[in-house]
Amino acid sequence: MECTNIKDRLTAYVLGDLDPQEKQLIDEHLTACDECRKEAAGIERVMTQMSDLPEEEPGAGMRLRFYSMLDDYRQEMNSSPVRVPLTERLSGMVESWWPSKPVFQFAIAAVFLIAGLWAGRMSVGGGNGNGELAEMRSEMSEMRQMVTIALMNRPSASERLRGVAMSRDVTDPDQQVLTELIRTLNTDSNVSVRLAAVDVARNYVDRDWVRVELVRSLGQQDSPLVQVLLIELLASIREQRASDAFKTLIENQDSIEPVKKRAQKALDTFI
Amino acid sequence: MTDHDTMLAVRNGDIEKMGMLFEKHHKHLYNFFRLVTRSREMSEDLVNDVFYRMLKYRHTYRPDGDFKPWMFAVARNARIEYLRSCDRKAESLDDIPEPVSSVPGADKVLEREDDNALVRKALAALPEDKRELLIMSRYNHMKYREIGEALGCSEGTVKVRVHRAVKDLADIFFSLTGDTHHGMH
Repeated sequence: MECTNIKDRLTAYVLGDLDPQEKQLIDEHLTACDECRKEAAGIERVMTQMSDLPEEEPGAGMRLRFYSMLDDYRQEMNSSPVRVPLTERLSGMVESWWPSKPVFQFAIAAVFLIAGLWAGRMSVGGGNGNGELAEMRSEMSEMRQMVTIALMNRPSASERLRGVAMSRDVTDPDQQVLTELIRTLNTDSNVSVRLAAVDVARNYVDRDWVRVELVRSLGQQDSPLVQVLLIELLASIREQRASDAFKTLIENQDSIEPVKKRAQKALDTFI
Repeated sequence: MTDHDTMLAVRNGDIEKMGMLFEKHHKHLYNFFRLVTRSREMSEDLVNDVFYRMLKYRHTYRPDGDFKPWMFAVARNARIEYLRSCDRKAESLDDIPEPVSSVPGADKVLEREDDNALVRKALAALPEDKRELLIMSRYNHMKYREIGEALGCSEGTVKVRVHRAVKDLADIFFSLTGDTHHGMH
């Protein structure tokens, strides 16, 4: 290999950024070529110092400053009604009337359920008062959607689980609920909540956006349980766009065997 | 709990958890600024600024994001705005002096500064954006993909720019040593 070609790649070589084949070619060239070897050694000499840059301990004042800033910020947050995003506002609203005892929570959920059922039964009767009823039902639905979103943002996993479960009962969820559902699927720290989210998402795979998000989610999940559930869902709806995600899982060293097997099985059904 | 999860908790309102992120990252962030700006005072200001901004803009932290690149993106913005507001660009504040040998009087005796001091001089001579890139890569140990996320450019672009910066650094270093380190053919 020509020295001129090598020189361009020497920096990448020293940094370890070359693929094995190119690295080997350069290894071989360097055994024979003094000039290039000297240049590589020079770059190496500089980079060794870069790993040894002086590190300082910041002054103690910096920590004090941070915690005092955090204090001030917290106080400001609690006192002034700052413009807060919907999820936080709803979470706050829920906090004010959603009881903390599960018994009462169940009671309120039951009230919603009964009211919803009643509204449903009344509409079947048809005839007069339909307009009013429709309005009430849509208000109920909106309310339920708001509560669902708020629940999915609660600190307690069991409440989030309930929120996910409730979202299944929303008849025509608007984008906000589904976005929240997907966000929960992707980011909730609790595996059970994520599993429940996959389950509920199953009901909305008629929407292409949901299907795309499910494929994306598969690429990000680290829990094997969620991975398998997603694979099964994507396979059952024959979502061809998941093929690449399946392949990645199969090739990834970190995936456990059952996941790889399941992904392979799904891939096989696609072909 | 990963940094990502912690930041999500902060985003959801548990701002006390920002303390965990502070404890974990403040030293490396401080040194990042210090190596780039060469000013201890500015670095302390900037670290505080970054944590304040991460609190204030916590709603912009994406659930599908990555914490370290986001923090560095905030850090870069903080530094750019700091320079604009204090109008310090002209001054190149160096309260960290050029490295000289540490033994007093010995600089008269020693003919050459050691490699480490020379590299630091060479770093100081690089333009700031190249210096920043090298420090993110080699001091903060960020992967090219992470740097790309922080800077808003592709991994490939970052790789090329880092290689160029290394080459420039090496060229300056060797011009300082007076050695000819490679035949320029």
